[in-house]
Amino acid sequence: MSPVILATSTVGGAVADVGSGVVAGGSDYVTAAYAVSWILLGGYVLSLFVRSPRGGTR
Amino acid sequence: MLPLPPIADLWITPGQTVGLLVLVAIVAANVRARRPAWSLPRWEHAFGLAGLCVLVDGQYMGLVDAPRERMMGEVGRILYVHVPSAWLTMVTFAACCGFAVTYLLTGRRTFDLLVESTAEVGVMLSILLQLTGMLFAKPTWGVFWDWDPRLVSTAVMMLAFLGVLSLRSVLADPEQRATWTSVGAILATTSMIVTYFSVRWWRSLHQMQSSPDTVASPMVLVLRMNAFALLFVTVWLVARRWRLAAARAAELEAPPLPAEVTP
Repeated sequence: MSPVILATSTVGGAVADVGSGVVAGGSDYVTAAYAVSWILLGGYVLSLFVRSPRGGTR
Repeated sequence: MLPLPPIADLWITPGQTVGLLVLVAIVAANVRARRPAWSLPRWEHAFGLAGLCVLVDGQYMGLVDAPRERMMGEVGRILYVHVPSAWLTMVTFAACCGFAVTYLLTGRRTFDLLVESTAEVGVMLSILLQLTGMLFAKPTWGVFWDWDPRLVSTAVMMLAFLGVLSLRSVLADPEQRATWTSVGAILATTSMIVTYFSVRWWRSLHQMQSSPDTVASPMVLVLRMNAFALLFVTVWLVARRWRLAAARAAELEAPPLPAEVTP
C-alpha cells in the first residue's frame, strides 16, 4: 500500500470513529474506578479504627 | 466486560459469600466471648454488613451483568460507582445541614457531633465522586479535568465542607465550636444546591440529571443496588464517626485524675 493511500485510509478511519461518537475501549478506567472506590472506602474505615480511643468504641 | 457468569446463573453470589464469611466470623467471636451467637455490639454493624454484601453484588453486576452503554461502551460501567457516590454525597451533606439546623434550634450536643460526622463522611464521598468522575471524563471527554460548571461547583462544595471541618478544628471553646460549625455547614449547603442545579443553569459538558424513564431498566436495577448499598455503608460510617466523636468529647470532658497520694 502506498504511503498516500495508507495515510488517507488511516485519517479516514480516525475521522469515521470521531463522527460515530462511540467510545471504544477504556476498560482500564473502569477497573481503576472500581479499585479507587474500594481503596477509598477501605482506607476511611481503617482510619476510623485507627483514630478510635482505646476502649472508647467497639 | 469480565468473562464471568451473570449473577442470576450463580449458585451463591459474591455478596452472599462475603456475608456468610463475616457472619461465621461474628458467631465465632461471640461464642468465644460467651455472648449470644448472633449478637452485634452496635446496631450500625447490621447496616455495614448488609451494605458490604449488596455493594459486592452490585459492583459484580456493574462489571458483569449490566449491558454495555450504547454510546460509552464499557466505560459506561463507571456509572455504577460514580452516580451512587454523587447521590450519597448530596444526601450526606443535606443530612449535615439538617443536623446543623436541629443543633441551632435545640442546642443538643449529639446533633453537633452528627454535623461533624456527616461533614467528614460527605467530604470522603465527594472525593470518591470526583476521582471516579475524572476517570469517567478522560475516556469520554478526553481530559481528566475541565473548568466546567458542574466540576467546579462540585469541587467548591467539597472545599466548603472541608472548610467547615477546618474551622471546627481551630475553635477551642465547645459551645462556640458547635455554633460556628452549624452555621458554616448551613452556609456550605448553598454550594450543594448550586452543584445540583449547575447543569441546568449553565452550559455544561456534564449531562443533566437522569430518571428511570431515561435509563434502561437493567441499568436502573444495578444503579439502585449500588445506591442502596452505599446508603447502608454511609449510615454505618456516619454512626461509627459519630461514636468516635462522642468518645473523644467524653475523653476531653472527663474530670482530671486525682493526684497520686504518697504515704
